[in-house]
Amino acid sequence: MRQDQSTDRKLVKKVLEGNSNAFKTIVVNTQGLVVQIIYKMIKNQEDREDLAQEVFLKAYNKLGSFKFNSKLSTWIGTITYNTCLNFLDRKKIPILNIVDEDGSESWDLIDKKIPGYSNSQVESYLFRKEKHQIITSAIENLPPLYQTLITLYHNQELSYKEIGEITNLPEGTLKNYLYRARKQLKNNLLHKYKREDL
Amino acid sequence: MKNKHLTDSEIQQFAFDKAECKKEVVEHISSCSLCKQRVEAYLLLSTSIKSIPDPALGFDLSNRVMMQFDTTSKKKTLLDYFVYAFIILSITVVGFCIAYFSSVFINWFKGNSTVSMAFLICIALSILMILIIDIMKSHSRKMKMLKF
Repeated sequence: MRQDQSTDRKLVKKVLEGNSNAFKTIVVNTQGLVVQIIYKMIKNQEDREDLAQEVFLKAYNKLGSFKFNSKLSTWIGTITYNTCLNFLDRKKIPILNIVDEDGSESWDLIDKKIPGYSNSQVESYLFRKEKHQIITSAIENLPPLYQTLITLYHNQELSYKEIGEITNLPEGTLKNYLYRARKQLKNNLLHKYKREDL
Repeated sequence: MKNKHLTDSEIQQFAFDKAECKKEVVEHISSCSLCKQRVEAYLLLSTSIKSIPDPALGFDLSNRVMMQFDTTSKKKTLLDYFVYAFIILSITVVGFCIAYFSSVFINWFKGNSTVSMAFLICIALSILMILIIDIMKSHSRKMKMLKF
């Protein structure tokens, strides 16, 4: 973390002194996170491309106000998340549709309704049938906020603190949303799995 | 030890935030194969998400961003040149007018009363105030657009 901060400081100093290559390094280092967030929150490819550029233009214009209270990548992640939120707000698209709040345990699909079917069979199914595509499409069926949280936690492997800084959510709320997101994802997968193969 | 099977939240807590788990939850999982299987299913899900390849834009983002900076700065330079040229031209025209019509202006100022001069100054100051307020409003609007 300390090493990250010192690298961040050096890069920001160079950019503020007018070194555009230093900003290119920042773009290269952080574009993975930016693209992940944008892809999870925005559906339209053209909008994604425009927003990705907009995020870095904003970051460049605001770089002088960066106070090093967090990692530079987290700060740029926050800009990305807020830019996407503003975009969705303008388009009147909700970031969270609560659909699965009945508390029912979808494990029943495996435990009761499908006798003899074990998780190892689910596992082999997942590996057999283009695992990535199935999970990607199940994730895409989640609300934008859940998609983003799942990706930041499991794919980008960010800590709760970092995700909280990006999304401005308190840790308790964040964990709660993550629990619900995983549960909904698991339900989506189990329902899809049941429909296609049983 | 808990005899009933664990809830989904408890299963997830064991899988991803084990340090925060209650002792009875840990004990239950160590002895319940069904709950253990559920934990493993979540861990498998997590591993599968991790292995999804990162999405990529269809172009080199860093080059595109840097190109935009170049275009913006070039546009700015051209605009700057135009503004400077316009300012120089305006000063020249105004200077020429003052020099050419100086005698007319002097006679005009001498011919007007103090009241009418004060009236003219008031109008000029009002127009100046309106222009300054407009510039400030437009500046604050642009600053708001930059905020996110």
